[in-house]
Amino acid sequence: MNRRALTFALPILTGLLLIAVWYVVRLWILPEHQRFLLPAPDAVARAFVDKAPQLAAATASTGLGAFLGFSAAVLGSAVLGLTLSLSPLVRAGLYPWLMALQLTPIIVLAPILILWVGPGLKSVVVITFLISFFPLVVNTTQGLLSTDRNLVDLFRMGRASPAQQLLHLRIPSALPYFFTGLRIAAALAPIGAIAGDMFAGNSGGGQGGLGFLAVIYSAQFQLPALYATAIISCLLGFAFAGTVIWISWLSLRRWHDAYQPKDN
Amino acid sequence: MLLPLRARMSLSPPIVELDSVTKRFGDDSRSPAILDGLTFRAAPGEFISLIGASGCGKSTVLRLIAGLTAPTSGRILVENAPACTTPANRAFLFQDATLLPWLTVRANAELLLKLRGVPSTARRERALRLLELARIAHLADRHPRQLSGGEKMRVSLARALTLEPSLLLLDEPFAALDELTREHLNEELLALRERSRWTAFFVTHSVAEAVFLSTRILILSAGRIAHDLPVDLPYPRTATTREQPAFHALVSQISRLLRTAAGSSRGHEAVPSSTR
Repeated sequence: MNRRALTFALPILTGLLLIAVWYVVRLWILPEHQRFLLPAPDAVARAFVDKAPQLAAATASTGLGAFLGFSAAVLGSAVLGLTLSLSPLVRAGLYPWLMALQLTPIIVLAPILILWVGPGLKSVVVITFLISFFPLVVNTTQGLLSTDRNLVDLFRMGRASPAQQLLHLRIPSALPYFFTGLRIAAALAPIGAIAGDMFAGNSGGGQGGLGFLAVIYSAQFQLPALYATAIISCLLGFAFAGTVIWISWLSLRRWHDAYQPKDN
Repeated sequence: MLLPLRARMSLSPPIVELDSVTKRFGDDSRSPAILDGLTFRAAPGEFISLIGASGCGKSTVLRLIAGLTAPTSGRILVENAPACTTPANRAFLFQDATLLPWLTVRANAELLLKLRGVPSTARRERALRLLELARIAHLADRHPRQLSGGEKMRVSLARALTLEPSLLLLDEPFAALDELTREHLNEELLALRERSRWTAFFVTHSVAEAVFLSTRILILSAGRIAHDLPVDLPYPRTATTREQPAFHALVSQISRLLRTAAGSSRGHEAVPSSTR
């Protein structure tokens, strides 16, 4: 078996092994009165089928919130990143507060934000925005400030206007940094959406997102359904991060060294 | 063999003129001067190499003439205008090829024309002609990471020449290349010069390279010109030039002067000048 096929097959093998261990723990290790803690994989699968409409609606709702918040964060961070890169004084004035915002746990901010903007999709979007914003701003700013000095001299010799320098030099130079921020933010956005949803989801007729479902199922002790919700949240995260990694690969593969195929 | 060039140079008006130029880094007037009252003129068509120990201010001279930095005191004129105002007639070749990695070779070669607002068909044509002259037209659609060090430098040179500069400033452009590639590029640099006769300032650590290329060599030491030497080898110079006894004699003579100049600057003694 060649190496490529092996890297493809190994995760599947370890997955099957984990399911086997799961069954072993459930059937032979756990005492009978604790077995409900670890519902059998087939029970989780059945919950997927039974709760399919709720799970699908919740995934769509959370996905939409994550997408909107993430997109707003990308646009907002581009504007703020450009502003911050222009002046060290602006950086000195704003950076500590951005830092403070990032270090305040989002689950503490969430109830406050819901009071401000009201429950439902709006607060999910705002919370997702806040959690994705910081890594994007930091990386974009860093990228815009990391332009090769020789290239700046080249543009000065070419009598480039500040706008030309920004468009043809600073922004393309910042792209690899921007995509690093984008990948971190893409991993955080669904988490932010689900966390926001836990607080803000039960509005407008009780149909919320995945966070809301998780709260309901744990309150109702529906463990197979709770496991199913966890698994679908994980898949949503994969879809999100995967899409962003794919987009960054498409954008950088032709010129950036980090996106070249490795020899080993 | 080593004669002052003053008499010959005064016939045509200078293209570059430095008048008691001093450069310190930082605002403090007590900080040491990188250049200390530098004065010289360059006539159109000269190929001047600047050599000297590391830190003697060679690269600073280039950056001053380029207008990338301003002198602390003194005056620099390029084609009778202050150096900082009109970089249109000047092109700079950095030690690094300074290609934009996200652009193809073709787009890199067109960059300076694009910044200047030349229409796309005209700049495409001109860039391609220079890529052909630099013998890399076949690489036009590659990206810089797919090129060797020598090929990157050729793109950089082609790009510099797209603006048809009257003055070319080269800051150790071939220092990072292997010996063979470097000699090859030296020959082609002179061949390109035969076509358009720009004036060149060339910073290098290699005496042999300086002798091969130049009409004149300036040895810098402690921020001053220690020696101003003509190189009276006939052009065109080719690979066989390097085999001639006259070439070897010049290389060893200049190497000796370079060693004494570097030695005396370390001892903080007054630097004797053979030409002033």
